[in-house]
Amino acid sequence: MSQPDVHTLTGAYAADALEPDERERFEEHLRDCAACRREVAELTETTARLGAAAAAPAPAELRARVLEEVSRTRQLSPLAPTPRTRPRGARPWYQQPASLAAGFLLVLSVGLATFAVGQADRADQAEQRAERIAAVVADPDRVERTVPLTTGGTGTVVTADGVAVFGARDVPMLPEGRTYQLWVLRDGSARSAGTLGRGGELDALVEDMAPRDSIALTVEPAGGSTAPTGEIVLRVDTA
Amino acid sequence: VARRADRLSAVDAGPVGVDELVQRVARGDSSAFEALYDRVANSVYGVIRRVLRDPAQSEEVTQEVLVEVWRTATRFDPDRGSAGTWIHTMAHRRAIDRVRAAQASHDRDERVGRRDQEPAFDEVVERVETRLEQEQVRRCLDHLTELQRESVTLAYYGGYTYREVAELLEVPLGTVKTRLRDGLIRLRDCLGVPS
Repeated sequence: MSQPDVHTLTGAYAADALEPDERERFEEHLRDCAACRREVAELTETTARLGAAAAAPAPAELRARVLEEVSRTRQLSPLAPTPRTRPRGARPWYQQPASLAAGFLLVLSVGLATFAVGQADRADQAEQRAERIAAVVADPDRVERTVPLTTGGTGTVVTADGVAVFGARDVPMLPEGRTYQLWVLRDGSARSAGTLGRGGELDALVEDMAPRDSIALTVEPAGGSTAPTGEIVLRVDTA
Repeated sequence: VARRADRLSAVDAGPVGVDELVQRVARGDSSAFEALYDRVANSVYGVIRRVLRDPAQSEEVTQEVLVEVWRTATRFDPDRGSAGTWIHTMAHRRAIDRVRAAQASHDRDERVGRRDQEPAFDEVVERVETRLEQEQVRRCLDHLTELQRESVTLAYYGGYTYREVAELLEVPLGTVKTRLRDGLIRLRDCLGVPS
């Protein structure tokens, strides 16, 4: 995407009208573009006014339910994590990267986009995700496989306790309108584990893995497919 | 109480503003959270319902968002925008995430089938007529060109990606991108959003 192109996405971003992978890429761009951040802040303030104008009476019983859930929900620590510059705290697993591949996945996990208008919401999600990834990568019973992609680059899958972490790097960029999509293959059927973007570094956290599941990566139209349609560029058996 | 629940702008006449309520909530003040609920629940529910349409799902997501407001108020940073914007952005984002997730799995067909029933601009207008804030939004939407207005309402209220909007309106992608941006800029100026 050329620079002028990126800038015009401020409106679509503020209206939440980007595909997930585009949103991610745009957030990356925002980190380095102060003018865009300013514009996004203003346009988001604007779309919030559109939101307020859509007010409709919330169901009466919702109030008690929300207050009840709040009464047993602990609030977050006010200290936001700063994943870009420093992994949170000096956890033992950061000092002992389990392996080269696992170390790479850890770096991926902490390098996730942290700028977002959703602020704590998104930062918190990134933090939780990073912690999940770290737990898998540090699990003593993990299974680890590294396989080259047919299109170039390498992919690694680390599986532990029903959770798989996928990471790939040096992946050649796909043309505009295409995306890499990850799949879990089980008994001849494929379940989508999300679209991962057009190339570079890809990563994913996949829950609900069964012992004989495989992980596959395909090339799909932007936005992803409901079932794999493109060629399989990587396949990893996790058992 | 419900009468005023959707008013989130700085001119809010209530004794305590949403920003201050969120600050108190951040310190664990549950009565401030109750007051905040009464102030924002209708607009949070309204925007989610507008996007998702399904009442049960909307209720679920509303609950999720409001509990999230409680949970993460400790990290709300007023330097990045008002508390009302923070809450509405989270609400809209969650609703959209729900739409996209459903789209990625099995609901794609159902959603495509629903396209014909998307809210006309008039329906939006009808909803927004009674209140001052809504009045102003309606007036400002009126000042947009038709393509700007359609792009903004289909994307924001309809929950469509700009690609989908381009397909629905049968205009090039780049046009929708630009109309979304200049439409929102015009709305910003008309609504007097502080820069």
